[in-house]
Order: sequence, then C-alpha cells, then structure tokens
Amino acid sequence: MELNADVIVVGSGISGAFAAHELVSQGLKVLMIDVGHDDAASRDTIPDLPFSDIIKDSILSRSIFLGQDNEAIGTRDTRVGAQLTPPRSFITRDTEKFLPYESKTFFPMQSLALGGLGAGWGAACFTFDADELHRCGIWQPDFNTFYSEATAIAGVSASNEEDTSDALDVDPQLLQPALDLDDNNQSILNRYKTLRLSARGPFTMGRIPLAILSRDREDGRRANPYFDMDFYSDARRSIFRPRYLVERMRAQPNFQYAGKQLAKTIHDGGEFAEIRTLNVETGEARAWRARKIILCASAINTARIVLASLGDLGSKVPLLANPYRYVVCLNWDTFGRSVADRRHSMAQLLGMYRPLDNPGDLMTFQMYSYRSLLLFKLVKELPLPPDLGFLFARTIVNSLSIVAVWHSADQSTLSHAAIGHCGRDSGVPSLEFSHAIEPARGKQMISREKHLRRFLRRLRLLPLKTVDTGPAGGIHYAGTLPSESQHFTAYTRSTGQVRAMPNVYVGDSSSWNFLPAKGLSFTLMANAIRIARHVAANMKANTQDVRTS
Amino acid sequence: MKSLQPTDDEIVRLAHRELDDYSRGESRPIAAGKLGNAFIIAFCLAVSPFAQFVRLSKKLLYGTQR
Repeated sequence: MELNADVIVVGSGISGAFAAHELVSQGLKVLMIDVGHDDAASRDTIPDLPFSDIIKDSILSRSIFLGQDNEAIGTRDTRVGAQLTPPRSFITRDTEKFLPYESKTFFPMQSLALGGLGAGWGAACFTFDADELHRCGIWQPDFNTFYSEATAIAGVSASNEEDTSDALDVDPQLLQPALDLDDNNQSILNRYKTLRLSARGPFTMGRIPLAILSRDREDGRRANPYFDMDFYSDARRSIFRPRYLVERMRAQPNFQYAGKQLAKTIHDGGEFAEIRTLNVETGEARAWRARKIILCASAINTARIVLASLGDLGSKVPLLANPYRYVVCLNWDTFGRSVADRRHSMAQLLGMYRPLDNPGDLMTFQMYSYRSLLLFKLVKELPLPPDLGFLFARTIVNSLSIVAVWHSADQSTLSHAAIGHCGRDSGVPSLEFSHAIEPARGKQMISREKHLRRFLRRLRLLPLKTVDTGPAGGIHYAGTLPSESQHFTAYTRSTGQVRAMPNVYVGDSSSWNFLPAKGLSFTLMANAIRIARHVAANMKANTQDVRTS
Repeated sequence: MKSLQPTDDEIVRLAHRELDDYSRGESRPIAAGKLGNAFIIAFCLAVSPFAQFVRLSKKLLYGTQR
C-alpha cells in the first residue's frame, strides 16, 4: 500500500497550520491538502508607508482602497466583512461556487484562502479558563502548556498589569510588551482608571492581548509600525498569519503542500485513511492516502466533509456561532480635537462584563478606532444626503469608537446544520443552516447591552447606533461534530477522533460544544497542537506495538 | 427614507471624491474644537430636511438609477 504521507492535514488555516507544524517538528511526513488562494502580487505592490502618506497619492490610493473595479465600494452591506478590503478579497474568493449552502437565517463567511479565515483574523488572543474548556469538551489538565507553545510560535504582545489580564493566562515572560494605544483609546482607558470603574461594578477594561509584534523577532518578523494599514497590508509581518508557518514548513523535507485541492470526502480503510479531492482549476479528481487524516477545514467544511463521507443526509448537527453586535460611539474627550495618525488598525482595548450573579457567564467587548476604512462607508450608513453626510463624517471620525460586543454560544435545538443536495458546479454537497437565538437568551443579551451602553456613557462614550450583524456576523463558528455527544450520528471523541473513522481526527472547532464570549483563534492554535501531539503519540505507540509483536 | 439614502452611483462618486480631496489635503478630519465641530453637526442636521427635500424633488423629476 503506497501512502502519500504519514498524516494528511486538510486546510491551511490557524488549526491546520499549527497541527501540521507540530507533526512536522515531530519528524512525521506531512501532506497539507488545501485550495490556498492567495494574492501575493497585490500585497507586494502596497508600499510600506503610513495610511496618511498613501492616501495623498490619489492614483495609488484608488487601487489600494477602492480596488481596480471599485470592488471596495460595492453594493453590499458594510455590516459584515468591512475588513475584507480589496487586497484581502482573496480570502472569500470562490466560496460561493465550491462551498455552497442554503439558509434564510445564517450566512457564514467561508474561505478557501492560504491561511483560511486566519488570513483576516483580528489577532485578539484569549485563553479559555478550565470551566470554559470543560464546556467545550476539551479534557486536558495541562492545556495551558499548549497555550504557551502557541504564544511562542505566534508572538503575542500583552501587558499583565491590566484589569483584564486574566483574559490571557500565559507565562508573562513569553509575551512582548503591549502595543501603544492611540489618542482615542488612551483617553478612554485614562477615564476608566480615573473613575476607578473596576471597583464599582461588573465591568473591567484594559489593553487587549494581540498576536501583533511590538518588538522585532529573530525570525524576520518585525514590530508593528503603527501605519494604520493593517486592513490592507503588513509588509513587516507584524501580525501573525498562518501562511508564515506554511512557508516555513515548505522548507522542510518532510512537508509537502498540495494546493488547488478541494477536499470532498474521506474513507477510513482500517490501516489507512483516504481523502478524495477536486482540483479547483482542472476539475481533476484525485485520492490521497495516509495513516491518519486531521481535518482542519473550519467548523462548517469539516462537518461537510464528514457528513458527506458518512452518507449522512438529512440528519441535523448542532451549529454554534458567537452572537456579535457593534456599538458606534462618539468619544466626547477627543471630539473636536486633532489626534495623532500613529495607530494600528486592530482592536486596542478589551472590556469584560462578568454578571455579579453569574461571573462565569462572560460578555466581552473590544474597542477600535476608525480611519483607514474611509469615510464613504460611514456616509452609507448615515440618514443624511451624501455631501452633508460626508461633512458630518469628517467632524466625528477622530472621535469615533467602534465597540464590538461578543456573547457566548451554547448548543440549541433552534440552530443546526444538515447536508443537502450536491452543488451543480462542483459536485460538492450543499449545507442547510437554520439558526435562531432562544428568546430568553435574546432578552438577556439585550439587557446586558443596555448595561454596557450605560457603562460607555460613564466613559464619555456616546452610543450613536447599535448594529446587529446577524447570527453569523461574528465569524466564530463551532460545534458541528460535537465532542462525546452520542445522541448525534456524527460526533467526535475528546481526542478529536471522528466516530466510526478511527484514522480521522478533527483539529478545528467542529468538536467544541460551547463558544465562550472570547475570540476562539488562540485556542484553535493550542487545541491543534494538542490534537496533533495525540495523533503523533498514537502513531508512534502503534509502530512500537507492531515492532514488539 | 430608503429612497433618500445615497444611490450606488453616488457612493462611487463620493468615494472617489474623498480620495481626490485627500490628495489635495482637503479630506482631513475636522478638528475645530468641541464647539466648532458641534456647530458643523448642528448645521448638517438643520440643513438636512431641506437638502432631503431637494434630493427627493430631483429624484421625482429625473428618476433614479438605483
């Protein structure tokens, strides 16, 4: 039996990159199956200059900020995906064709890009506490060691002297110093500290931990230059992206990357596992074999592959997505003032709300400034004629604060996915989604957001508008192959192993039974290391057993 | 009020105008002090009904390409 590798990893997103990296570093022969759309050519044309300089060149700025065909302007809603600027449009390329779905309520963002959705990740890092890991279905007493390893690989900047420092529970010696705040966010944090609001209620605030470098590293990645161009380019590689790991692994002799390959189904042959793929350019079908397969194709597509492979048509699997809204606020402290252009574009402050009667049931919020996404996007949302809207936007943009609010997500009978008919173009089975929030939970979220708006007003942030992005707007998905949930036909073991497929594992969030109100990406990294290490140990033990016998 | 929101063509025009203005140094955020900025906002809101009326009249007269 000829095998293509010891382990096949499906997907190059955060989980795939970290799982593969762990296996490669253990000396195993690894094959990564991926479509891997990328836009290196466009990336290289963007100069390493501040937004305020690039914007002065009207020809250059047109191609970067609006796109060759005005694609940044578009007709689509700005509520979700505003961060998908023209240089990042490759992240969602071809997903309608190759990752079909049907739904009237749930419209997830999917990716076939090199780095997956991680290519546009906001870089906020959180660790799940023991209770949250337990609710996810991750049973591992020493899980924090995986967080430490992820910290060393990705590079994380954070301060351990914030009121919110418990959001990232890793050894402080592994961290780079926290990034600087811009004028807007510094004024908010100053006000929070002056009023000593942490001692007066359930809200805490501090600088947010980010996988963005504040200092140069020996591996060639450099500190963030505060150019406010992070939604367009990152010539210095200051923000961690999964493709950096993939590039590094491609220099290793025991790693092979198979691009343009869309994974469709898997078959567990007992002593090996086989995956069938479609070449998205040539349409050629192909099969690849390895002793083990780790699926890291995102919670939605990993479920698509497993359900299609099991022939499990019609039966429903759970669907988890963090409810996400954002509140547009005017910061009275900086209103009418000029502020320095020096800033990065990602979230700068983290807020946490722990209800006094149930401190474990967290709501979090992240604060962004607004500038490099341009004013015309604001004008679209204003109830004013365009020219007046533009004038209005120029008066408030220095003091705008976008407060992104996250709630936790649990399994619910109202939210599920199922496999449907095959897509006409690709032969890939379509998924059907249905999503709704339990009425009691919806009321609780509204009540908490009311508390939040009151808190924001005490910080002299005037909430102007709350925008509901819809149930998939948070772009955090999980739970489609739940852990140890035997009442579903498709589920996983706590080791990530898929039911009825002993050689197939899940390395992404498909197996999580809960999503805390925290970004999931950092835990995806740690969990992928955990799963890969288990697979490697399992393979080595089997090899030794064979030798012994 | 939906018909009074900018059309796609107007948004394209506005986006290009924003970049042109930036290259001439005219699109910079306005920092005229709390009072100054509040005055501009008040002006926008006060003039808005009249401007909306003019817009609506033009749309009724010439149609829209939405």
